[in-house]
Amino acid sequence: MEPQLINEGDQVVFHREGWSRVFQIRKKRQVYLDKTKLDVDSLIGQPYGSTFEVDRGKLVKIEKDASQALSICESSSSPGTDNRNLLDLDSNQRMSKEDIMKMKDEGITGQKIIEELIENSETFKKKTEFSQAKYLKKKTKKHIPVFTVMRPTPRLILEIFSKDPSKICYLRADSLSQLLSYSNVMHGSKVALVETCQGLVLSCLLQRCGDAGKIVQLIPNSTNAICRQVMDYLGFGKFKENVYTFPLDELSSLNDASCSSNARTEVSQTKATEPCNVRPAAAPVEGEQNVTEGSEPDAQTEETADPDSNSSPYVEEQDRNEAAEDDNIKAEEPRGEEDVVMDDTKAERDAKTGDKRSLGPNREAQRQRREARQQEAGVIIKEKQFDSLVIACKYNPMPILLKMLEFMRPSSSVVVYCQYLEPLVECYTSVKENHAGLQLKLSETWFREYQILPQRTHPKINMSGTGGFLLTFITSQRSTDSKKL
Amino acid sequence: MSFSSIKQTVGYGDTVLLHVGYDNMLPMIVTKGMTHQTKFGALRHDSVVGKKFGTRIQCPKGWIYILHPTPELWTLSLPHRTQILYTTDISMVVFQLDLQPGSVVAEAGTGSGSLSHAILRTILPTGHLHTYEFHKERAEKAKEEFHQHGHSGCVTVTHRDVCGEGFQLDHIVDAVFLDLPKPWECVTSAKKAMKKQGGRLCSFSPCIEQVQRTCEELSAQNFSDIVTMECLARHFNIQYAKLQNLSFESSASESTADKETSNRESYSEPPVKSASATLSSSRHKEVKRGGSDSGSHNFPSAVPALNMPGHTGFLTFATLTCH
Repeated sequence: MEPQLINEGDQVVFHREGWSRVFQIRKKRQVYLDKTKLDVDSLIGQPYGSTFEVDRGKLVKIEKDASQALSICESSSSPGTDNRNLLDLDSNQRMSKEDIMKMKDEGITGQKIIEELIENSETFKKKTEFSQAKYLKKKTKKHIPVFTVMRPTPRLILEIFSKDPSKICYLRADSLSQLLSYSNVMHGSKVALVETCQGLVLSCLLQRCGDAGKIVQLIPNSTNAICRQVMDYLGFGKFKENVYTFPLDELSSLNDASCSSNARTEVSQTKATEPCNVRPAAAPVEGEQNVTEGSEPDAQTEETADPDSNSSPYVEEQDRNEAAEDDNIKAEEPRGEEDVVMDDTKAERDAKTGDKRSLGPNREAQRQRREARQQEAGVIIKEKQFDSLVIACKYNPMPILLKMLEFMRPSSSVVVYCQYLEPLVECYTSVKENHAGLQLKLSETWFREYQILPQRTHPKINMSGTGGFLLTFITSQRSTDSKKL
Repeated sequence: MSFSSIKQTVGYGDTVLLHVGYDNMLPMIVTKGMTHQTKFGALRHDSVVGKKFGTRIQCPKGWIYILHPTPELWTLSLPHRTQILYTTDISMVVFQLDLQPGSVVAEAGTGSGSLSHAILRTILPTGHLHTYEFHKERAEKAKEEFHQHGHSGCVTVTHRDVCGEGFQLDHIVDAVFLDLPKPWECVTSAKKAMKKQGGRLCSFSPCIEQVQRTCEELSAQNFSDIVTMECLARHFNIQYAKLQNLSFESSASESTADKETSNRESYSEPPVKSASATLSSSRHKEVKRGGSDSGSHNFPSAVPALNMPGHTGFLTFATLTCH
């Protein structure tokens, strides 16, 4: 099979050790990477898996052997035996930051800069061989920005959030992977999902469903925005049609015999109130567009991308506030700015939003489509035949869990993820008391990475302290008393 | 049949899991006219046919549940022919190998098929698993199991020692999993099995020396992003704990009352059974005391198990870019 090539319009991941960023490749588009402006035109037509070096805003492809050589460029001089004669002095390095910046401006390569740094270091030659290797690795990472262009996968996308895990409720590879396993979601599964992880969990589940299966994402209500940015990274195409949305606050209406008409009246009520709060109402429409855009025959690539850029300012803003509430440090973090695309300034986006709003008939059609989809979702829920229930959100899981258990088939798989332990203890107790589940397990995962090097193998100096908690069980036959739930 | 797709009701030939208790689950192939002995007495196979999965069945001496098989439940109940991988490691492997429906995977060795079932669940219905086992009987048994579980079309079991003889696959797989005594000897063959556009490799080894040699070989063969990790599940036991409150005033009668209630209601394994017992018993006591118990601090607590597995193996992952 021929290597796959990068095409215009592709979502690609720029990846280097433990770090990833995702961009859409478009002509004449510049992206920010580590505060450097980059032209990505040159990536088009290159095979996936290619490695590039950033050289003054240009991407220079590196051949395999060369990139290998970079990491092995050891000094040949005889190294020291230990650090007994090394003093921690500023004067150890004769080059100043200004010198380095000047060299960079002059276009001197990172390789050359590192050589200069070594040349001007008092202590380098006296360091041990291992210490020299560590120094080189550190400087290489700093002065030779190299990354590999990959197709997005859930694994790489998870890395994008490693700087700001609060956005995905602190899911870690181990907790996300176990969530996926214990949910038993496979080709053809019918899944009920509540998530506030930027669409990450939704995307992973959708990928595992393949071209069959149905996922009903339950959202708090029809007026709040839901963010599914990760779905765009993975480009699901027509699979998106397998995702449905249903507001939790309309669930109770489903229990009535006259459910469908009820739902309809509620939807029309929402419609009536909509003009008063234009902004929040606009967002779910766009969220829904993500789902249905595949079926829209007149949609062009350019247009399908628009809803996302429209919705992003609002969603981001919302997230920002939440993050500020959660954790003050997080608010300091640059979030997404590095990835902000040059040609999509906020003003332009706003202008586009304005355009969208003027398209009255289009909006009306969208609303009807959304309504129809929601009713389809209602039918799926009412069947009470979900194979899997997955909850990974910032809301209190217990009421959601107890409500949703009504709609699960017996012997279905349930996974509740939470960044805190206590809510899951409550869920556990409640499920146990109601005899609603078998194989009930509450767990967390201890996860550690290792440095593997000749004579220097040891656990990594830093490790993640938490990846959240998981409650998993299998539903059992609903006995008559479980109706009390 | 019931592994490869989701079924509503039990039929002949299905593998069902009998849930007898928390740590007691038995696989059973539903066969006409057969009877199965459980700790709650005999269960006639015919009596479960047509029942919905998840149904509670009355046996002479107690209830059992018939559960739909999942790879996770299978891992807990499968007949061990070797050491097996458990769900914590399995999940990480499937996730880090970027598996999805349609992926083609090579696995060595098959062992008891614990990982294989999880891989198959993920790559169904269009993917394929090539699995290798150097022990003839084990290979045959695995083949039989995959057939019973409805996986025949998606899996090829080969009796071969891949150390030495190799995978003999020519650039067709997306991912390779190695659980071998000398994984470094198979890296070349694994690379040849992997698609030209590249893919992911995982090696599972219990010993760090194995990891060391494997990593050296992987980097010599141009694999990148070589990462080694370890993950362990910590299970919590939910119990109502009770801590005695000490008084700062002298009271002769109070101290005797405290003695009765001060013992923590501790429950040894199995964790979950005890938890339910804890809940009901402590509730009753609370009712009896009428909430007037100021002598102790009562609270529900998630207590980690006193003993837990401290090591399974190191997982090493690596990427092969187009080659």
